[in-house]
Amino acid sequence: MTSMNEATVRSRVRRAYELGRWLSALRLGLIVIPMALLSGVVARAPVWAASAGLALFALVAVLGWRGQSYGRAVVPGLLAGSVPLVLPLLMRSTGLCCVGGVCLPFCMLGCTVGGLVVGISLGLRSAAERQGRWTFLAAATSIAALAGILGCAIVGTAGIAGMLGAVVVSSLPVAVAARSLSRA
Amino acid sequence: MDQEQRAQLQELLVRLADGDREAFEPMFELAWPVVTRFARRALGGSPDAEDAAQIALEKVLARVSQFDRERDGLNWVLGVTAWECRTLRQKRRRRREDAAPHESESLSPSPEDAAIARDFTTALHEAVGSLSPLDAETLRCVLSGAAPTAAPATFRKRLERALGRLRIAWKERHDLDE
Repeated sequence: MTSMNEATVRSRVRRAYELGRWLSALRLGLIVIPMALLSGVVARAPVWAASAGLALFALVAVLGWRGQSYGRAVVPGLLAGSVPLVLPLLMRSTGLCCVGGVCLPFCMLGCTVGGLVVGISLGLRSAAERQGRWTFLAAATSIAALAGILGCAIVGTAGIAGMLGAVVVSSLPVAVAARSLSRA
Repeated sequence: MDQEQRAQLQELLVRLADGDREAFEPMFELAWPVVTRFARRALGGSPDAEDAAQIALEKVLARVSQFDRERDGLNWVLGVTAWECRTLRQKRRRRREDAAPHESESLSPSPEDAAIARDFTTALHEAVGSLSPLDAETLRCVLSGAAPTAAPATFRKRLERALGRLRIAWKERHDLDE
C-alpha cells in the first residue's frame, strides 16, 4: 500500500473515531429527554424545560464527545444534578411545595439543599481525578446546574438562583478541602 | 507483536476510549501493520485484504469509546478483523456462486473454505479457552469426539450450559449485536 493510500486510510479511521464519539455522546444525551419531559409536565414550566433541556443535551453531547476530564464529568454531573431536579418536584407532588396553586417560599429549600448536595458531592468526586480536576469540576457542576434548573423551574427564578448559589458556594471549598486532604 | 507492543496498544486504546486524541497516531502506527498482515493471511494474500483491514480498523475506532479496559485490546482488534475477513469472503463466495452456480457443487472444499474453517477453529478455541475449566472441558470433549466425562443426562445439561456461555463469550469477543 502506498503512503498516499495509507494517509487516506488514516483519515478515514480518524473520521470513524470522531463519528463514533459523537454517536456515543448523543446516545448518552438521550437521558436528558425524560428529565426535560418530567420538568415540563410536573413543573409546568415548558419554556424553562425546553431551553434548559436543550442546553443540557448540547452540553452532554459536546463534553461526551470531547472526552477526558470533560467526558468523565458527564455521568457524575447528571447523577448529582438529579437531586435538585427531583427534590422540588417531589416536594410539589407531596403537597409540601405548592398549596392551592401558590408556591410557598420554603419550597426554595428543595433547590438550595439540592444545590448543596451537588456542590459537596462533585467537590468530593473531583478529588479523585488525577488530571484535569478543575475542568472536571467546572464541567460536572455545569451539567448538574442545568439539570437542577429543570427541577427548580417549579419555584421560579428565585429557586434557580438559590440552587446555583448553593452549587457555587459549596463545590469550590469542598473541592479545595478534599484536594488538600488527599494530598496529606 | 511482542508483549511490550501489546501492552502499548492496550494503553493507547484505553486512552482513545477516554478521548485522548494524541493516542491516535501511535495507535494507528502500531495497529495498522498488524491488522493488514492478519487480513492478508486470513484472505490468502487477496488484494481485498487492505479493504478488510481498513473497515475493521474503522469499526474498532468507531466503538473504542465503549472499550472495556479489562479486555485484551489486541484480541479485540483481531476479532473484529477476523469477522470482517469472514464477511468479505462470504460476499466473494456468494458473488462467485451467483456467477457460476455449478462450480459450488464440487465436493472438495475450496482453499477459501479451508481458510474459513481454519480461522473459525482458531477463534473457537480462543473463545473456549476463555470459559470456565468445566465448560471448556465439556466443549473440548464434544469437539474432539471423545467419550463424555459424565452421565449422559448430566453431560447433556452441561453441554447446553457451556454452549450458552460460549455463545455469549463469542458475541463479546467479536462485538456482535443480537
